[in-house]
Amino acid sequence: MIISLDTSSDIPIYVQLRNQIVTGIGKGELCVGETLPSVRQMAADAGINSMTVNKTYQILKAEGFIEIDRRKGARILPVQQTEQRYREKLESELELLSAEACLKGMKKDEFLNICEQMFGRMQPVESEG
Amino acid sequence: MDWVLFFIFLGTDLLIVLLCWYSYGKSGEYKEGMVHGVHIPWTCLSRPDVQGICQKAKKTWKLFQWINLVVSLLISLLCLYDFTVFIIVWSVWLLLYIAGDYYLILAPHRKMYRLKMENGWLHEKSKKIVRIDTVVSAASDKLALRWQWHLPALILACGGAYLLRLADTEHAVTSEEAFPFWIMYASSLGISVLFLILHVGILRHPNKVYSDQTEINLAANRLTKHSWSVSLLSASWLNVISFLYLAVCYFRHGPSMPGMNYAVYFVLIISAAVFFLLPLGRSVKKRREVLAADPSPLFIDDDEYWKNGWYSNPNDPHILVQDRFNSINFSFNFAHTGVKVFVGALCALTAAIILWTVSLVSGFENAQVVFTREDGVYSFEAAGYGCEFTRDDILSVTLTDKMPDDKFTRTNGGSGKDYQIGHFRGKETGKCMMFLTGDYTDILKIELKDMTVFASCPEGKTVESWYQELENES
Repeated sequence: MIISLDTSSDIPIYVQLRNQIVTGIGKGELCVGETLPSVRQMAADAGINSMTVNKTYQILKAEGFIEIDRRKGARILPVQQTEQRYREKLESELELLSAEACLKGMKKDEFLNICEQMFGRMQPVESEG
Repeated sequence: MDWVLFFIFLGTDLLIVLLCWYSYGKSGEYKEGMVHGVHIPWTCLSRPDVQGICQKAKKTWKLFQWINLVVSLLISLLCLYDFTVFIIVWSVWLLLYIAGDYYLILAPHRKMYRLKMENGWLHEKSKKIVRIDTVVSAASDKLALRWQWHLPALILACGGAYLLRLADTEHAVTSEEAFPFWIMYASSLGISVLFLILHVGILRHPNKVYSDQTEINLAANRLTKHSWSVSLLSASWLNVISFLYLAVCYFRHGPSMPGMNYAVYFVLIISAAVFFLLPLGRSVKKRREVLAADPSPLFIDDDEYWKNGWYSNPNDPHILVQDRFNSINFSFNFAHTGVKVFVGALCALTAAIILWTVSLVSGFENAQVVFTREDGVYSFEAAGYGCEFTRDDILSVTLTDKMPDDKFTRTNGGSGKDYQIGHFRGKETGKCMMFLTGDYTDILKIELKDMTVFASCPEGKTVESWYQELENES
């Protein structure tokens, strides 16, 4: 998977990194069981501080997307059942997005259509290995 | 000897010119979205102004290299005539050649950058983008040979020092005689340590994203890192082997080892250079083929940081980046103060070495033998070499018109058509020092308890006066 970070963006690098990895898992570009680069290597390749990468990995671990093993490094975890806490977070974010779409004059069908299209692109896969 | 030097320098010059010609001669081709190190849209390639810069640069580069091939050959011929003149002219030529190469690389680059700015062929947004291929990054440790393979070679090199020490004791070698061998040891060890450091640097070097296809990124990064690691490792091992060979010969024969041993050592050193260059050269072609598989490669338009011809990006923490003009090479990030200091020190050191070499060689050519006596201590001095002895050390003094019929080997010093100065060893004579200048018609031979001293100078009367002074005393 190719991760693109925009260093001029207002979104912090660790958030960009987290979002892209989650999107990558969702789209199947990162397979379940696949190993992510080590914190040091990811930081070296991106030219960013290793603390930034470490922060991203800790967030992803806390969210249940990856596991961190001392020897094997960071690995993508299988898709998990929706937690109540996540559902609340999703509802809150969707509420904001719906409000913005509504205020910008978007119709309900159009909004749902975009949601459906985006969701359809997500095809998380198990590792071939 | 002159012919040997001629062929050594001729070979070196050919290697330098051909390597530069081959390595930097293709920066006018459109590769990785760039021409002459500047990103431009491929649709603009056929424009007359772009073509004009490319064709002019190609023509000038070819002419410059041909001229330098011929000039280097002519300069090499100079060493058959006068070595001092040759070494000065050769050093000046080398500096001018390097400066000329840089000018011919940077001039079309700057022109192309100006053209790009005038036409607005910019991808401003991509300048701030950083890309990472997770598969390549995760496999980074497996892309090259491990640096630990250098360690056995370094341990063996340390063993070479033990062998040198043993040989010094075995053959009762003086520190002056042993000095060149210890210098060679230090150089050999230094090169291997440098290669180890470079190897670690290559392993830590960031991986590059060339394409949105992971297979291409993996293959291109593997080719670069693997070929560098193979080059550094094989050259380091061959460097150590060649020194060990020399150390074994030194242990067997002492400082006056047969010339054949030096020839084998030289061949081994040359093979180290060949094994260093071969994997790198081969990887260039393969890498080009790999990258050609993607018709729309990804690139980051960071030309602004290369606008002067060298890389200077204060936002990039990396010290070494891939070179714009030769993809297998690396370039420093001059935005870091440490890099400026390091490169400045390196340039100063190079200039100092060149000046020292020139002064050393000219010191031999213009050497004058000075004989003095002070408080009962006699001394001979020439070109920085000297020996001191007292009357009690003298076994015999003779004035002769020719050197003994013996085979002498220089162990530390200089020898040319008109001079023999420094430490020598003769098969029959044993350890000796020579202070010979001029045509050697009158030679003073002083047998001391631990060695023999030969001295002469262009003025025969002076040698005779030295003889009289020593003869009267003894």
